Amino acid sequence: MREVNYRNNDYYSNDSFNNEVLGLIAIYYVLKHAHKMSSAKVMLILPLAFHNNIVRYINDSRTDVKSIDQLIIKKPEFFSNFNERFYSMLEISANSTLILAAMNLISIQEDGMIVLKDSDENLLLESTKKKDIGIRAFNIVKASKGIGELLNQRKENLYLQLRVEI
Amino acid sequence: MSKEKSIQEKTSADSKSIGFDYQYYFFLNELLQIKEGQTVGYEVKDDVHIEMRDGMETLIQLKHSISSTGTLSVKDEDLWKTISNWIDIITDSALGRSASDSQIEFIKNTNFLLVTNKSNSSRNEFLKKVNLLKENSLTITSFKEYLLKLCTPKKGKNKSQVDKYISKLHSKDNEFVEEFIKKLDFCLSKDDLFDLIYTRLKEKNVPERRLENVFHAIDSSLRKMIYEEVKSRKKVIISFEDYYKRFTRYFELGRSKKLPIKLITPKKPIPDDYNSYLSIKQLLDAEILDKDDLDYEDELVTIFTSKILLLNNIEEWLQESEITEEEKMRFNSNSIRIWEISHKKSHAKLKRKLRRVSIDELDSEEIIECATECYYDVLGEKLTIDETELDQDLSNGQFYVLSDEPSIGWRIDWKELYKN
Repeated sequence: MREVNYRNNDYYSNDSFNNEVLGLIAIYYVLKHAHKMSSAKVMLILPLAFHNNIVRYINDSRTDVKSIDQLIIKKPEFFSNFNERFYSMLEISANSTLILAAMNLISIQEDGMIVLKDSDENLLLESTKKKDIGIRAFNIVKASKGIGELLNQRKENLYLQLRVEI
Repeated sequence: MSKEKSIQEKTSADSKSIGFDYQYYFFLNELLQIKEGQTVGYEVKDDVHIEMRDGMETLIQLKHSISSTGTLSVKDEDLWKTISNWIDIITDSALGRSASDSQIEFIKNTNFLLVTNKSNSSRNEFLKKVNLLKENSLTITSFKEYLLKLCTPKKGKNKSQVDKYISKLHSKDNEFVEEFIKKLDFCLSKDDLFDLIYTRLKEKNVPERRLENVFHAIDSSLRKMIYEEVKSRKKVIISFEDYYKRFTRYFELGRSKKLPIKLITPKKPIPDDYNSYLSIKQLLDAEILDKDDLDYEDELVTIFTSKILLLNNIEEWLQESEITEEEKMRFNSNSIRIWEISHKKSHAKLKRKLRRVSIDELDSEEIIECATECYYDVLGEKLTIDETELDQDLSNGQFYVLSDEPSIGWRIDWKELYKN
């Protein structure tokens, strides 16, 4: 069982579990595989990457996730509150994207496309080893290729399949 | 504008396709009602057919019309064409039903149902006669006489197609016609298939706000299945087992999701600085707890245990993305609202008094009385988070957490005492 601190007032200040640093890592490493993505799709990364069960499922060597449609059919429980998660994490998604742009790691084009600036000197993390970045970040990095593949279809269809209310 | 139809208008199939859709949604509706041992078929033995466990079969014909005036007339072409088709099925020699014995046997094991969106008309003589025959208030001979009259064209006119269908029924022998008519049923004015389907889903405990999701999931899966079966030249026959295997998971989408509550929590030791906790201080000030009580320590263990139990569960749900930050905040404000009502209720009398005298003049006994009432009132409340009802321990834990902050208090002067 996870321990909770006995400190006073830790109740409201405790939404650091899903934060911008992890957001940066998730978005950056998904873009590492996809290179270029519309901003609408980038907003879908965190609701997937911050869901531990989805990450665990993608990283499981026994599973082969082909498409988002197939995943929704196989594991509908992962998506039952996707809409709520999308809006809850929208702020972190936007912040993380803007920070990445400010760090000069990505560029946001006028048409809303987000493009990775590929260079060997300019990396977000020097190491992605488990002991350096922690287990949750490590798992997200590991799943980033799979998440990129899930998002590799028309954004209209993604929003429809994931039932995000716009 | 000329009245001539354009090529596009001629080739558009809107009126045809709605017929197919009507049939399809009726099939979906039947499928949702399938019981163990039954099978439902689509475009196999008829538009739709249902096979019961005991071998009884129901053949269903569906007729949808958008243009008609809306009532089923005596010589409705759809009606008689359907009856003619059924007669052909009954007398199908390819299935070994050329002898009248086997025909009667087949009729006895089959129900014939015509479903249409046309409505019943009180003037429809044929439907009336059918009902009379079923109730045995009309003899088969007079029924056949009526059929003969119906299909005899007026002088100087030729037999229409419908007349031919009617005489086909008339030409069968008495036993045939009587048995057949008794197994004939009409389901009229069926136009609200979506309402029916949604009702079916509700019957399976799908909550209102998820109906749409579940419906779309089942709908698209079924369409895909029909397409694939037909493409591979298989028949679309779905048994209860197939249905259960293929469609149960879509109801997951609508399952009112319960959060997994971790119930087993060992009793937590009391923290050393427990006196600095506002939740405890508030209870001491309201004289609900007292340091000299024999069970003082036990009370503290209960309070801290339920507090930790709630905090840990919330944290776990957040980390597993079962709930979002917004849901947590909604839960908090809901809990505060519940406390607020109870606080106002218990202090209404005191508040009236306070308008006349200052707080220092109030009887301290009275303040404590009201605070105690409020406290036990709130402890009796059960809270709900994201459709999951929390048990008493967890609900109480939430109020202790809130009184720690403090977002709530028990005494009438709690704000002055503890805030800032």
